[in-house]
Amino acid sequence: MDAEEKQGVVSVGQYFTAVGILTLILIATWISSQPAIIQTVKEALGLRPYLQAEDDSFYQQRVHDIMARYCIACHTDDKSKGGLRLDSFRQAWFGGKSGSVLSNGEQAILLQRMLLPVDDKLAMPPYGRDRHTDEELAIVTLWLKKGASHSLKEEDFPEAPEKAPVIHFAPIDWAQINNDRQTFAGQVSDFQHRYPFSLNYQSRTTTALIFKAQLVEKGEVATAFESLCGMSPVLAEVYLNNEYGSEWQGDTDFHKHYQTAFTSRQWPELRVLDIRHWQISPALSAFLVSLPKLQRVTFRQGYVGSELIASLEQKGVRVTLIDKEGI
Amino acid sequence: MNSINSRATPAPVQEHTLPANRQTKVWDKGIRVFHWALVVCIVGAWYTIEQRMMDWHRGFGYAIAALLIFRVIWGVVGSTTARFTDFVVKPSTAYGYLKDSLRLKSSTHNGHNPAGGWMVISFLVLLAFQVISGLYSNNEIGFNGAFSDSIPKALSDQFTQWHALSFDIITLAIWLHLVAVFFYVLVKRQNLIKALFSGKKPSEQANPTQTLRFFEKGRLWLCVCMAILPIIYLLWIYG
Repeated sequence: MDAEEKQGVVSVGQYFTAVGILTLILIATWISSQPAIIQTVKEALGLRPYLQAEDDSFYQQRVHDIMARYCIACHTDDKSKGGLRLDSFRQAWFGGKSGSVLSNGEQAILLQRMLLPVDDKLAMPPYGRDRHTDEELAIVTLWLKKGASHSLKEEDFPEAPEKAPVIHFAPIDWAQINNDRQTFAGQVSDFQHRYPFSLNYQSRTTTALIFKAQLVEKGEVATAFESLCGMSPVLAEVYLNNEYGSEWQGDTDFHKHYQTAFTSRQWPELRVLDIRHWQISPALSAFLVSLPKLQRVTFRQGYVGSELIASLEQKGVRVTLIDKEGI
Repeated sequence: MNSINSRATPAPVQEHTLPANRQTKVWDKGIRVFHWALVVCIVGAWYTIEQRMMDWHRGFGYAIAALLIFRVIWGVVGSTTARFTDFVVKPSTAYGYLKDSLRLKSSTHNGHNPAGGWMVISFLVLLAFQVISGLYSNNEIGFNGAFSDSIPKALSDQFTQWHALSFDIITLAIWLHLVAVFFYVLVKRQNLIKALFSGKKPSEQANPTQTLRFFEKGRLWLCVCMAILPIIYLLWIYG
């Protein structure tokens, strides 16, 4: 076997020793170009503290938001274009295929790419994406000029543009909204099927309802109103302003029936009420004054007494009076 | 024209009985051009993606696709040493060959040896995945693989990740391939590289018991056309 091995330029043993050494050199060369691996190993060995930006650092307070807004769509853990991640100071510090993007102050690759004309092939953010403002560019420039620090605080950058106020919207709890709507969901759904477009939620996030009677057939208004009263705890706006007057004007019983249905319920959320066809009885007057959240009410001139108007206005309710023509 | 190398006698050939520098043809034109074109295309695809030359990168990708289609067809209907039936063996046979090879006691083969055969299959699978994942990839800034719009963006992003990861695996496979090739060149004194240029190897390194058939005209060009046509269609439809 030895004789056979000597037939080559090198022996099997020599060859694989050389291959092993060459492989190790290649691996070492590759690792030396991977600061993430070097840093992680040194941290694991306790040779370096864990690399991350401090919570109150200038990076975390001012720079990170800019990266998050313009960069991390393509430079994050699940999509690191160019081998670069900018989703944290730690990852930004590791750099990408082009090496470090934070070193050399104003010559840092990060800044140089942001400074390129918008239509340049290498410009960042790339053409077609939202682009940073001059103020944001100034913040990144200042941070890089002072060494791209993970610890310098906002007070170390007095020349930085002032921080714009940030408006945070409370998160919407859709499950809670659905849950809150459950009590009357069946009735609302039935009503909407029976009288399309007349009953809606005030918005996608509320349980409060708006009823507009215009689209209810004239002969069905009474029945519709009765069903509507069943949902009185969640009705916020009720507009009975359609021209079905002939159906009941002058019909005292019919009139009473409406008002009895209305006054026999609780309307804890009612804010807007348009009852321009109702003649207001003393009992109804007292009931209207007692509505806890009423803000606006519409009557027909002559159907309502001045005392009620005064009482309501005293409570801060805006009263609108219309004449026979509906003006 | 088909050339035929026929060895009727299965008995081992004694080195001293052969004329000096006698060469045996083992690789046809199709395999040789395929191999070196693939090398150029892989290097080209790597260089162009590094330089963000996306149109060129796509071009090299399509070229690799055409080469792979050709190689699969040629592996079925091509010359003897190109056919899968010539070099795909049981994995245990390939393992045994590798062990013998390290002891410099392996058998001679005209075409791919048993271990090399599996290397070919591995490359075909890896490169096919590379091409397919490339067709479904996007680079976020205006370049999309031909089929990337037919799937959700998140899945296209996933294919983009796989496309990058797959290239790392291909790089590793290329390294293994080079280690094996230079093992033959430096240890076994079989210059496989030269053979893939000339198509010939010294006769003492060939297996004289096998009859070799080569197709280098009509059938070869027909297979080349069959490989190129789908790519032309792809370019025509997707640009």
